[in-house]
Amino acid sequence: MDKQATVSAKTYIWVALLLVALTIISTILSSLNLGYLNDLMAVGVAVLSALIVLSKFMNIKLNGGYARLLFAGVMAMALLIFFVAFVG
Amino acid sequence: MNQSLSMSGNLSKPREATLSGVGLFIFIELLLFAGFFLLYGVYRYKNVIAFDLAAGELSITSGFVNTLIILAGSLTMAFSGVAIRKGNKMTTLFWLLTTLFMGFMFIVNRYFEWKGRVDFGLFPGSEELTRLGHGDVMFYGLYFFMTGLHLIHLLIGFATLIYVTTKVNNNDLHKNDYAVLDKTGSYWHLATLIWLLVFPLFYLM
Repeated sequence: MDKQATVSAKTYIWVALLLVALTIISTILSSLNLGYLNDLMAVGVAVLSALIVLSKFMNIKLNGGYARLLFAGVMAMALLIFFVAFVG
Repeated sequence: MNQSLSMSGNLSKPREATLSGVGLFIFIELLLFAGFFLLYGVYRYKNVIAFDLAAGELSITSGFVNTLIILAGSLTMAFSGVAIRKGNKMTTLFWLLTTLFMGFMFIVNRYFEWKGRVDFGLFPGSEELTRLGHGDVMFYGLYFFMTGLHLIHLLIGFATLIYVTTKVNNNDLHKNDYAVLDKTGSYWHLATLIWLLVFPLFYLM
């Protein structure tokens, strides 16, 4: 079945609005002095936004072997970046 | 059409197999940028203060506006996909042209942002940057390289989008054959995805 054909323009508008809201939240949070949490939240919101684009706009399923590997890889990278840069 | 990153090809479904290829390409692209993000993390760790000060020199407003532009571009690209499925050629063309305009606006904003850095002598190889120290050299080196690599992706997407627009205009792409538009859309959204990850690194952290 052609699943993407069932995605309406209205759904895309809501997805875009959610991404704009996340960008605004991320930008506002960056202006607050929250210590290392600033960086953690900036990366966290960015990864969340990226996953939304991947699943909603690009319509890529996150249940394939490669997708799982990619998800694990990105998570591992994010953790590594965080620990190497901000904890270590 | 549902794209999958799974590589389990099915010869009886050529369109699925083609899109799996696009999925693999996207996977490789994401891993490439993940490597650069790691590189950024390591250099930031080694030059925390310099990176903080250098990031403060960049305009958050400029980065924020570019994020809004590229998100709007992804939305209009998605609209073109909806329009072609409904068989509405003129609406498809309208949204494709709007997407091209959004891409152009992003490139213009990128030009002025880079020009601002270059005018201050803050570009790789400049005397001013060398004088500021190793941390600033690394920050602006990564800034120009990663935003430049993203810009190259956007320019490729821009050129492909022009090709797709002409195909739609010539009725080569229509309600019953829109796989090329879908693939171009995926590439365009990939540029959005990469920007959403690059934006906080240089502007918000």
